[in-house]
Amino acid sequence: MLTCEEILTTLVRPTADESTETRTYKAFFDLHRSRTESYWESRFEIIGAMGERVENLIGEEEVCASSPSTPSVTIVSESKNVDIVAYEFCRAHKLLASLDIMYNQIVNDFTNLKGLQADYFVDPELKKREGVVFRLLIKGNPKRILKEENIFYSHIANSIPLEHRKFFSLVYSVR
Amino acid sequence: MDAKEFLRIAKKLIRYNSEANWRTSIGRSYYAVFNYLKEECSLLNITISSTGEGHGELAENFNNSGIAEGVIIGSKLNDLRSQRNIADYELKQVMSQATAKLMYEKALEVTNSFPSIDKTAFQTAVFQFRGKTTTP
Repeated sequence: MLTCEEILTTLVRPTADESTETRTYKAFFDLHRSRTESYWESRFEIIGAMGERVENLIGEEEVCASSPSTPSVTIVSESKNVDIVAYEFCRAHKLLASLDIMYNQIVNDFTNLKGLQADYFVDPELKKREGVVFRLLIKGNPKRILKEENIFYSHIANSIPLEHRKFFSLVYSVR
Repeated sequence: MDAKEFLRIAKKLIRYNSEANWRTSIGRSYYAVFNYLKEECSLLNITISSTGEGHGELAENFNNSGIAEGVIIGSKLNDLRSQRNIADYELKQVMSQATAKLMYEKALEVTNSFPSIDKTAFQTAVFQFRGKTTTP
C-alpha cells in the first residue's frame, strides 16, 4: 500500500505551465465513494512530496475510477496510519471516535511498538464480519506483549461502547 | 477429542523451522480457543450454530456477557480469528515464528481464564442478550 507521499512523488504530474512558486499537486486516489470538500478540509492534511504542507487540495485532486492498477492510499491524518477505506467504514458506522481512541490507546500502551496500521477488513469466510484491524509491528517476548494487551483492554473497557468492540481487532507481526 | 489438543499441536508446530508450520500453528491456536469456548457454552445450555456463523455468534455472546473478563475473552477471540485469517490468506506478508508463539500464548491465556468466570452470571447475561435479539 503506497503512502500518500509515494503517490505524490510517483504519480504527480505538474503541468508545464505551473510555476515552481505556485506548484500544485494532483493526487490520484482509489476512492470507493464520493468525497465532499468539507470532508477533506476537516479531516486530513496531505503532506506534499517535497515535505511541504499542501493544504486544501480540494479542486486539484483527481478521482480515478477504481481499477486493479490504481493503488490504495494510506492517508496520514494527524500522524495516524489509517487506511482510507477503514476510515470511511468507521464514518459510515459512526465509529470514528472509537477508532481514534483505539489507535491512541494502542500507541500509549504498547512499548516497543515499531509500526501501527489500521486497515479495513472483510472476513474471507464470513462476509458479515467486517471492520478495522489494527496491525501492530512490535518487538518483545509474548508474555510482555500479552501483559500490555491486557492493560490495553482494561483501558478501553470504559471508553469504547460494547457494540463497537466487535468491529475492531488487533493482529501482530512480532520481530 | 478435547479442543485443547489443538493447543498442544500449535505448540509443537512452532518448533519446526518453517513459516508454513508457524502459520498452521496460528490456525490451531484459534480453533483450540473457538472449540473450547463453544463446548463450555454448550455445557451452560448456550448453543452455538454449527455453521460458519457460529464463529461470530460465539464472540458476540462473550462481548455481551456483561462480565469484564467475558468481554475481554470476546475481544481476544475476535483478535485470534483475524490473526488466523492473515495466517491462512495473506501469504505475501511474512509470518514470524515469534508471532506464532504469541498467538499460542494468547490462546493459552484465554482457555486458562475462562474457568474463573462467574458461570451463572455469564449464562444469565447471554440468555438475556439472546432474548433481546431472538425474533419472537
